[in-house]
Amino acid sequence: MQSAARKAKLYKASLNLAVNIVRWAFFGLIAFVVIYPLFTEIVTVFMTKEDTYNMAVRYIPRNFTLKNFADAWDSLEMEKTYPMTILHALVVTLLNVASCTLVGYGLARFKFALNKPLTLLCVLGLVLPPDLLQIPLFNFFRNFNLFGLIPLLNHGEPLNFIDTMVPNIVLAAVAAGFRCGLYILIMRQFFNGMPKEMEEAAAIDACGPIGTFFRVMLPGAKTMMITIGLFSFVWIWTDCDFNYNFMRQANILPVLLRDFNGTTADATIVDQTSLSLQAYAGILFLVVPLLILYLFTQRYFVESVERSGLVG
Amino acid sequence: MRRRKTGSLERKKGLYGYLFTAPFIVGSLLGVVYPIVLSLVYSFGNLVPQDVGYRIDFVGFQNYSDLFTVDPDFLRQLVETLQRTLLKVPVAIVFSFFLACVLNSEFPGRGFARTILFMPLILFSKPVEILLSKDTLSTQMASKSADASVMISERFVSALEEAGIGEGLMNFLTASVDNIGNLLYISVIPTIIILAGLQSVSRSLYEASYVEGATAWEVLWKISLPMISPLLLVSVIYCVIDSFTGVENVIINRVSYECFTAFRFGSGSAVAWSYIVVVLAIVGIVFAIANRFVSYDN
Repeated sequence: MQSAARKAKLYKASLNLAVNIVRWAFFGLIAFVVIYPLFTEIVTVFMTKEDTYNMAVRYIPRNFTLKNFADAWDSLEMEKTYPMTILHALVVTLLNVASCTLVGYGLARFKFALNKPLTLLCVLGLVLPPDLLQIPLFNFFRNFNLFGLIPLLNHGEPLNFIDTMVPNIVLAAVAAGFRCGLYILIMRQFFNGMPKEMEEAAAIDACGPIGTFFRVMLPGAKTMMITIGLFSFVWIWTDCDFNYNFMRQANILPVLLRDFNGTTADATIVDQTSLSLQAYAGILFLVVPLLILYLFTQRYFVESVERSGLVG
Repeated sequence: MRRRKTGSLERKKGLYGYLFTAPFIVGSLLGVVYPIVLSLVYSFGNLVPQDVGYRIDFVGFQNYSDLFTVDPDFLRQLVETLQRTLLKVPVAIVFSFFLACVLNSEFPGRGFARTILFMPLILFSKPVEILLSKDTLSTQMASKSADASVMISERFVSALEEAGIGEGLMNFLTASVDNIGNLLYISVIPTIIILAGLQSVSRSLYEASYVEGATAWEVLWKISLPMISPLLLVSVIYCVIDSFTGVENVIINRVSYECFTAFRFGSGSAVAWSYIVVVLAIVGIVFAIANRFVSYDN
């Protein structure tokens, strides 16, 4: 009797192991496909220039060095650039999450005349080629006059917001920034799936629509808000449309990387090899913070959230 | 019988709808309506730069009729884009759903798997692409190891040839291997959306169904799928839109070229507008069809 139980246990364990091996093989394959295109770059960044000329050195650097990082760091003035880039991405992300959650909730839960048109505009905003947006929005923020009000206060001059964070912040606050339509749609669909009973229960307990949103709906929406926050952070961090248009001279990472030329010991000689090595370091400067961020946020996709509060 | 007037409670609730969506009412005017009206105006004319600003010479439907009757490429590009999207989206959605289900289950190394899955979004971004364009070293580094890897892939291909499979199948196999990276890239966002959706499904639903004797397979179809179907719909819409507006899309590149390289805003806007109408129609159809299968809880 006991041995039968042990056999069943062993069978289950070995089946589990087999399934896990299939999973590991599958994700190993995916890891290969994802990392392989940049594998050479990632290992080469730790090499000295001599190593790159040495035919015997392929993947493992013979003279391990961090000089390429140091050079790229100096060239990009990372001690100033990182705080600026992080601040920019963080502010935009927080505003995006706040505005898109509100709008998504409004579209999901209330019937009013503008509901369908606004949903259509969300999709339209996503479909628009970014190039079409550039010129009108650039003009809007270049000569910002707010229906002629600003020139009255500012000696007849409109304000120029180009090369500041203002355009991206304003657009994020009104849920019209980069890919905001997607965040709104995600939140709309999420709140659409929430049980109606929760709202009714809140209403019976004399909770108004605003109270219902903040006290009943928001706690359950945490995972979804973190999801759109993550998307928003990654996209504003690596965005080349809005950032290049509005912040063409600003000290933020994607803009600086566009004009990246590295530092060379001898300024007269364009040293392609060190430039390449420093460009690899630049890639890691861009990628690593996002990976760290993801490692922190992915915890929230692991905890199952009890969202409904209803049983059965 | 006269219809009853809508209750005042309902109407009062509607007012809160305006309150919640107020940011986007402003935002859509600024970020969507204004540029789109402007480009619609542009598309009926030619923009002539002047000392201060520009002047529009209106040409009526000239830009559009050129596009559909004179231009040799546009219709072909449009059809090709449609075909590619129709092929790509179902595959991407099924793949994302599968990935999300696997990643939602408990197994050692799950954190690593999730991180790997997320990486295409960062690694294949535009700044990385720009940096790699400055790179002269990687070909040199790759050539050191090229001899070995080239030999392996050549041997593999010749082995397949010897096995006697047709050329069509060969092309299909090599093309699908080449496209795995692309598929992974387009699947990142849907997978994360679906994963977050799966995480938000109430655990008591699963417990109840297991108590009633449902198998994992039944739970997948009868609990998980309906519960996340609203988010599945967004994923589908996202994939369609991404396929139509991604950086590798020929028509998007053409709009960019017309506007910023050739400085023909008129014809660029006409291309964009014709394209937007087609894409919106497709998204609308997808939405209408998929929405029937979505279970909303109201």
